[in-house]
Amino acid sequence: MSNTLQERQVRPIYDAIDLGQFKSALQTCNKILKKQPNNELVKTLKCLAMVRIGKIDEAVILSDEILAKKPSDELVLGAMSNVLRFLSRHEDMIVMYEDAYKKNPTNEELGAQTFMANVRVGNWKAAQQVATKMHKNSKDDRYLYWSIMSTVLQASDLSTDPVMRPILLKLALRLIESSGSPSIASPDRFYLNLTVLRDLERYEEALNLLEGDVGKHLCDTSLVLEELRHELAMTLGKRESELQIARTRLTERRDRNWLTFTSLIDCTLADHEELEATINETRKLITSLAQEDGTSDRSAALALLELERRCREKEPPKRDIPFVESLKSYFVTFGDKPACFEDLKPYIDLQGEEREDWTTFLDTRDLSNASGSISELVRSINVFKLRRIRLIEEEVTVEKEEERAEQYLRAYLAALSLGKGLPSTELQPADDLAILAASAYINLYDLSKSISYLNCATCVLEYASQRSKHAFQHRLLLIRLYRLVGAPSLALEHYRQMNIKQVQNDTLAHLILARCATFSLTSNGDLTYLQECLESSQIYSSNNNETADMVVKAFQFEKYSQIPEFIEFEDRLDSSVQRDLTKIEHVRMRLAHEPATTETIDTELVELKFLYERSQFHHDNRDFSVFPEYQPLGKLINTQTGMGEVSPGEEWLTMWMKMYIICFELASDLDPALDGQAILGGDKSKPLNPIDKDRKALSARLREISEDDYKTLTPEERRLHSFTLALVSWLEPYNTYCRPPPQPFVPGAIALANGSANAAKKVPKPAPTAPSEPPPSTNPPESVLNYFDELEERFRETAETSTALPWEALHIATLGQEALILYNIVTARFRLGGASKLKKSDPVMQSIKNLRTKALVALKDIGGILVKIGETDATPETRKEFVESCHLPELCEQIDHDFVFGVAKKVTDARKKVRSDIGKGLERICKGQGQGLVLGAGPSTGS
Amino acid sequence: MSILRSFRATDLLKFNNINLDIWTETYSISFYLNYLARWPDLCSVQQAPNGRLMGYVFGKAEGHNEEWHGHVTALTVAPEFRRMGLGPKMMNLLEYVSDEAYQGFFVDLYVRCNNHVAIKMYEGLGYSVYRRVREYYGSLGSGSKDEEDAFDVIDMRKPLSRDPMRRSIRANGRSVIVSASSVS
Repeated sequence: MSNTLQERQVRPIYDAIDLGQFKSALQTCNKILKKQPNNELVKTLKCLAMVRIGKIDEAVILSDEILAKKPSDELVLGAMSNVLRFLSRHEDMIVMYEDAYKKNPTNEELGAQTFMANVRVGNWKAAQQVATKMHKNSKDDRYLYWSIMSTVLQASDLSTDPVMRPILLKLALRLIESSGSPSIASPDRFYLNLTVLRDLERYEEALNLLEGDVGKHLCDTSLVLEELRHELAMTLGKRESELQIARTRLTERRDRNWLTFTSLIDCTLADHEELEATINETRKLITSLAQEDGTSDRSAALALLELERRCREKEPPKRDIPFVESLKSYFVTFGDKPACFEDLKPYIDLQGEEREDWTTFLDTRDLSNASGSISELVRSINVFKLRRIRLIEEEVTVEKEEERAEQYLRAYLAALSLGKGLPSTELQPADDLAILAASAYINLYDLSKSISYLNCATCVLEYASQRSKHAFQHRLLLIRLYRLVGAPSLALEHYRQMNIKQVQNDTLAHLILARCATFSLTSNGDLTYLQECLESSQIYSSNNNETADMVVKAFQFEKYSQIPEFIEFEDRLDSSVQRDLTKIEHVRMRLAHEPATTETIDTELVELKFLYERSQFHHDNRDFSVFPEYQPLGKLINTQTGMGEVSPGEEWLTMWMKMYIICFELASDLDPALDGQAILGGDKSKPLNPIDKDRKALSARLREISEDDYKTLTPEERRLHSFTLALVSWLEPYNTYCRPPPQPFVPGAIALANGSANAAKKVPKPAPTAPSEPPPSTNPPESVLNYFDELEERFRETAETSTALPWEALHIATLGQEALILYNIVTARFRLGGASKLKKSDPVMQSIKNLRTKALVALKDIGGILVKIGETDATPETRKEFVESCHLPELCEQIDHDFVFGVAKKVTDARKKVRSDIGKGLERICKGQGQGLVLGAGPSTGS
Repeated sequence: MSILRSFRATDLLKFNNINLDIWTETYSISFYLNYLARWPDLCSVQQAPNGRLMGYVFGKAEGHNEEWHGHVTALTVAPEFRRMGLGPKMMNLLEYVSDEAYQGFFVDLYVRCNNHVAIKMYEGLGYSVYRRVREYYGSLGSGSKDEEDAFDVIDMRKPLSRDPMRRSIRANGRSVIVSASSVS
């Protein structure tokens, strides 16, 4: 077929795909294929369209068909690479391009594609071989550097044997030296050359390269190179010359980069004979710089403090060095900058006389004119903050904190006048005073356990949030507070207002998703949180696609300095703790929404096993540093406003993953010996556990409990944990007796999503057959027997206790619901008609039935109570109670009765909703599960 | 007082205190990494000694012939670190690299017409208005002056050493109005 004809034929298909009209593209393809059933390009485009409208199964079959013919047409290859990328079949993509390149070894484009396909999955060794071949064919140095970079990456890959590392690096160096042009021609080739020398510990050679004329020039315009130069010089102990460089930069070039100051100080304090004299000289230099800069730059003034602090680390402070005087003078000069607080924070850990001196200085600042000008306002905010974070225990009594809260609040309201004329997009200069007032109220709650203080904090922050619509710190605290007081919908509202998106989903989703199963209404058909989990997880698939693309791009543009950084970033998102935390919350909430079918359990089990195995490489990217922390010594607002003493993190996650895997294993017919890696990671090139070859079997590791992990659970979570564990060990012998022979795992959508179309080929070996005799009957352990009764008792107690926070009762209720769901899953084999080899009259079968009845009674009661409390929640009385508990209107005119009433209404309404909905959900679950709706055919549609 | 260093991919995990601010947009991963994969020397970050990020700049080099120039795509400083000269420092570096490493004729940037604080800062750094771009950020139809200011941007330029005659700028820039489609 002529090219023009082909182009005319396929153009509309490409257009439709570009416009997202996949159905129409599919139709056009089918039309053409009727006449030309062997048109490979149209077939491939059809495949692409099918992928995009979700006809994955058909697309997989068709793509296999296309791949089998080993395509070499560039358009077919291009479209196919899109299909394969979408299906995450990266290995197949490599093979496809490899075959095409073999047929056309002189085609550089195909070579580059083969190289990139390997780069995409981190196949460094294969990538290096392709690049070497390309370099041989074309003599283009670019490909030589591709092969060098791949060799370096292979050396640093975790799966590479440490013995191989220096060998690979030496190979890389030889290749660089063999290159026709020197690496110095481009900053990034040069950088690569230097890092190889550094990693081979050939520092001297590296530094020599850098100190040539061209090297110096490159360092001038590349911060990365300059950092590396300094690192090398310091490793080589070139103290003198580095000291001189730093001096010159500071004086002649007026460089004020903090790194230059730290370099100056490092070199000054390094061990040498004339230490004292050098210190004095440096002090003199910095002092004169500070005087010269005045208020125009803070670095020299701060460097003076840094120098003294570092000197003190070396030996006890000398009286003749007036450290506190330097602090005071810094404050006098820069106290009107908002950053002054952050600047001084590392230097005010003072003791004895010095502490007293500094405290007196702060206490005697004249704050009377705080609302007179912005600089006076900022100064007083700095005084408050600096003073507050160093308050010691005896200064933090209820009485004194109340005084402080009032002082901050009054100062806040007075200073609002300074921001009156600002457009609504600007932040109010007084914002931080509201944060300080709220911090004091939150601390007062911590001291007294009286919820009225939390209400005060909420009102102050809501008010401040209205005055300064875009101040995110108010919202951060409000999100935390609304969760504590059982008004999660308001927390969600503020979270949405913050417009968290893209990569922030990984670092900030914890705000709303930590322990969110506590508030989930999936039992009632409300899928808000499930949806939130899915949406915030999208960033991980974006990462898999986009970051790999960008690594490819960095190769294309030869920005070698960026490649290891991109790979690290990709890895940090890929093995993010938050990613798996979101996953586990999703599983917990999902099971309350749809009855667990065999398929759900098998799929979740396999995925959780995979995640568990991978979790040893976890990275915690969650950002807690955004919280405004101004609490007194030893207290953190992050801890004070968290649900539970410890925020769920890696340890907590381990506990939950283990618990769910153990429960699911009992319900699943899959071969327990099959681990997640074998199934999901089946075609990944890198082994999951390259380091630790002597690890214990999965089943043994799952049953180990580490004290550190356990401590991160709330008391109620610990109870659920012991309940499930005791339940499982009681039932295990009967389960072994009853379960059918182990089944292989047939991957559904999940395996596809994880890039393993080949997984089905891996059929596990049959396990030993089950015992022929039933094991002797035993009674359920006490902890299982009494769990639900005690749960109800605890729930009633917590619901009635005035000092308990509203989330706590919800926590108990939803964990009880989870216990029932897990119970149903674990016992499904025994309860469901005909599935059990045990006789109905067997005492074990009786116990299972009785226990379940007990559970249903307790949970129905709890549900009923919640509905009832919910009914009385949003009444004039409860609002009045809220308003009366909050004494703000007596303190100030602005946050008046009406305002507080408005907040009270919002909070009580939100609380009513979640309480009664969780209550109703519980009743529904009891009813639904009561009809034996477990391991049924499909998801429930809700009532 | 801050550390000025090149922006690293992993900084994206730490920039919340800057990006939660209303004037700062959070883009996709590939947006940031694309800049780093092509113009890493035009992307830098300011960091406080305690590790907290204070502000960053993303720039690129683009254009043909005498239009070859450095472009500031995003410059932002966290609220608590404003008015301390961080912006000018990052701009200095970007200008220096645009001049020395890329040999551009000028540096330019777009700024919303209603972001008066920023405009004033750029003027102080030697930038002048080259033209006004209509409805760069979309449009609400015909609106008041304030609304127009929110959607229009001005293109500001500063000549570099390769343009000693200052041909890349003009005096009457504010009155030159072009449509968004003609610049992007």
